[in-house]
Amino acid sequence: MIPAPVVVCIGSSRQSAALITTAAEKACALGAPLHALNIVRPSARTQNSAIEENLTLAITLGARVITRQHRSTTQGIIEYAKTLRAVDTLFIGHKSHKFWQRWCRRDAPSQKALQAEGISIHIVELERNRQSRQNTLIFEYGVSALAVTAATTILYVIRPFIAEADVIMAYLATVVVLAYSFNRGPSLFAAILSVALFDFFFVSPFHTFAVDHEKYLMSFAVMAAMGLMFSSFSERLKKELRDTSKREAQLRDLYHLARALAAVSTTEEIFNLSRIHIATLCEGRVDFFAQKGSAFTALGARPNIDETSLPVAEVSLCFKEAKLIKTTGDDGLHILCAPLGFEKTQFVLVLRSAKPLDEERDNLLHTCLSLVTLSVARTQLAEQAKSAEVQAQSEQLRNAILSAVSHDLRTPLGTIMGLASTLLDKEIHLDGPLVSEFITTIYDVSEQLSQKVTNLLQMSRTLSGKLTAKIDLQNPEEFVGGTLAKLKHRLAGVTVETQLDETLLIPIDISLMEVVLSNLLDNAVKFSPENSKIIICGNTFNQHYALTVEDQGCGLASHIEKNIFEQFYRVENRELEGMGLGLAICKSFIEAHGGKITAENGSFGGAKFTIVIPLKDTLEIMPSRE
Amino acid sequence: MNEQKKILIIEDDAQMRRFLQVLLEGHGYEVFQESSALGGLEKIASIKPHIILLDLGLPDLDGLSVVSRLRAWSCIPVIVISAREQEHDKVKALDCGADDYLTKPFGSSELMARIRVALRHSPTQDQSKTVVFKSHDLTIDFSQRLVMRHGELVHLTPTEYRILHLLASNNGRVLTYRQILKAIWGAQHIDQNHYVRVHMAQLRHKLEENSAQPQYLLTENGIGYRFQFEICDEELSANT
Repeated sequence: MIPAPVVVCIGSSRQSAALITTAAEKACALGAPLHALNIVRPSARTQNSAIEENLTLAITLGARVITRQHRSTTQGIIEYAKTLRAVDTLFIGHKSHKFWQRWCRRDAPSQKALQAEGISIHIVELERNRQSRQNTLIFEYGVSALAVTAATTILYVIRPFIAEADVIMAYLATVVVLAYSFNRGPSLFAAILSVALFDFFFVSPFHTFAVDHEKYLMSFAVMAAMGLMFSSFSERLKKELRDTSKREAQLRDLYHLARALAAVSTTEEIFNLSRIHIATLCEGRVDFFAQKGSAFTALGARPNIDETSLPVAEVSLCFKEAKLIKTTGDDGLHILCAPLGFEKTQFVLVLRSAKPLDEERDNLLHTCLSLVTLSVARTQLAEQAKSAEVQAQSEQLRNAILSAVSHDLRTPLGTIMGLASTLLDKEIHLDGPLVSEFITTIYDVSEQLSQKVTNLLQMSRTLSGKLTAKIDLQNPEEFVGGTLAKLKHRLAGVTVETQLDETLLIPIDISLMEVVLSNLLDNAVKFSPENSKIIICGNTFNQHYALTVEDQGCGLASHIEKNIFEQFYRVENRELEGMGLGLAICKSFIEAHGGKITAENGSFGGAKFTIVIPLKDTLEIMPSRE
Repeated sequence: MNEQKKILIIEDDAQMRRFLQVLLEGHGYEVFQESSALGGLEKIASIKPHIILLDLGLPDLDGLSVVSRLRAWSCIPVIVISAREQEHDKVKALDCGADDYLTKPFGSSELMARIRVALRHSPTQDQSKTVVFKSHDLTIDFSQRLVMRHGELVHLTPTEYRILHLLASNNGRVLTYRQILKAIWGAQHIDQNHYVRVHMAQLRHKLEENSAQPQYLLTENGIGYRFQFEICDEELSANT
């Protein structure tokens, strides 16, 4: 499911660029499409060049540009937001406007109006760029001046009641407070101004800037110095605080990435995760590419982000030379291609960002790259190990089958060859009945051989892959009768009794079920004495059809009821033919029908095999030409 | 004595051909052999056999193509021989126009029975169609539209009667599901094999001693049905 789009409003100010970049990062992190909304006033004659620049930037970062005409920016945004299914985040720049500035900017979108429409706004506090910095500075100077002047006024008024030292303290206090909140410039200005005013109003000769005692010079110096120091400290602390929290956030991100990577098991997931995290950490757009022949394919899931041009030359160079490549694209974006791979370069990471890569982000990127490489290597090795294991298992099975085949086919073949060569032997004279007997035996043994070969073929079908049953509605009598007819010769020495109920149709794959029934009957004959009975019963009960084959033979030993369905299981100490594949085949064929087969001792002392298969819901009504 | 029937064997395995030749000549047939499909098709035109034995696994052309090519201009009965587990091919061959099939390995008696049946139903035979089938427990008289079992009248629905008639007209020969469906229900129902099964089951219940081990209405699993009536007093036509 495509997540809701992230919408960023394009403005004409220079701060818009930073806003767009932030929005792009957020969109990348969410895997959501990015829409750049440009509301144009009908009265506007030409497109503002700043807006043009910002639009270009938005396109480069993969946004879809939507232009709407509307008189009011707020209304335009609201209308657009309504056309979308949902808006995850709406990015509007919020500058620290003081109240007297706000009412001047009538075209700025109104937060309250948007919130009233139920659109959640994400206000991005932008780093103050130079222009705004200038505005702020002017403001701060003004406030400093005012504060110091106000302090002076108050102090002047209460001068008779306070000592000189108190005045100095008061000024210092003002400077400290100002230094705490403001930049260095204004606080220094405040310090100097306080010194000047202190001198003018509180130091004799009054109302002049002269001093009659040199001791005041030291006071002036201290005051200035303190102002300077406080503002420096304040500045430094603020910067350190910012840096620390930024680093903390990055470390947390790295930690999350590492944890997430440890949990995933496919390369696809690794790339999806890494794209998001690295994009957030390194503040740019991240793509992974693999090389397929001469083309490059992007990896990982791609939500509806518009494809931007791929720096083909750089990527192919990266693949070839397996080293980091940094370059600048035509659109002004900084591109970095990094090779990834265990023993050779298998993938290339392409990072495109508006900011050039500084040392800190460089380190981050390399850490992330190592994490990703390790995860990919781990996944690939795990896959290799798994397929090696599967291969080893199938090798083992194949060898077991081959040796079973070798033994169990050679025996009847040996018999046939022995009998035939005896018949051909010129030195022995065989009388008519013996010759007939030999020839009959050759025929019988060939028949059994044929059955074994069939079994083998069936087994290889099961093992070679998925065995799918072609289920059709079959008549139980036909299926049983047909199987009995095919085994007429084999069943010659026994009597088969059938007790099938009136169930007309059952959903089975008739060729598979024939093999099952043949195997069960073959076993029944094998383990039963001459002229005994084999009873086949079939009935429907409780949405299932049950078919039982019961013989009057020697029965099953109590502990082997489950094991006999395993491959190559053979009843011990019996020198009877059989590869032990028969019952295993039965089991897998029945299971392909969604049914079950069980063995137990029957009421006649022999073995009783029960097959249960589920019945589907309704039988189609047949038209009859009555 | 009748004219000796000519059999053409199209089979690529030499030992198989040898065994068939010996067997068939022993039963009084004149045997011709070909080892390739194209060679076989040519020979048919020149020798005009009464019956053709065709192996489905020929190297140059698959059996199906041979049957369809042949049926374009000839009605000579064809029995296809195939290896096991190729039900699909057998059915296709039968639907394409082959008359019967045999699965390797097969016994000689099976082969001879099939050949006899195919010849009996051959279009070149004088078609004295058997109208009455009589055995120790079952009597079917198509001229009077009556069926009796153990002397008692059996009531068949019209559909059942039509199926019985269709199968009996092809006594001894296999009919595929498709052929039965097409003849009884029409071309649009050719995939509903279970229609036929249900009716056959009911027929068996009415006519057979043991439905699961039928005597007359035999099931060829995966292929279709075969009516098998060894007629006691069939009037043999002049040519047999």
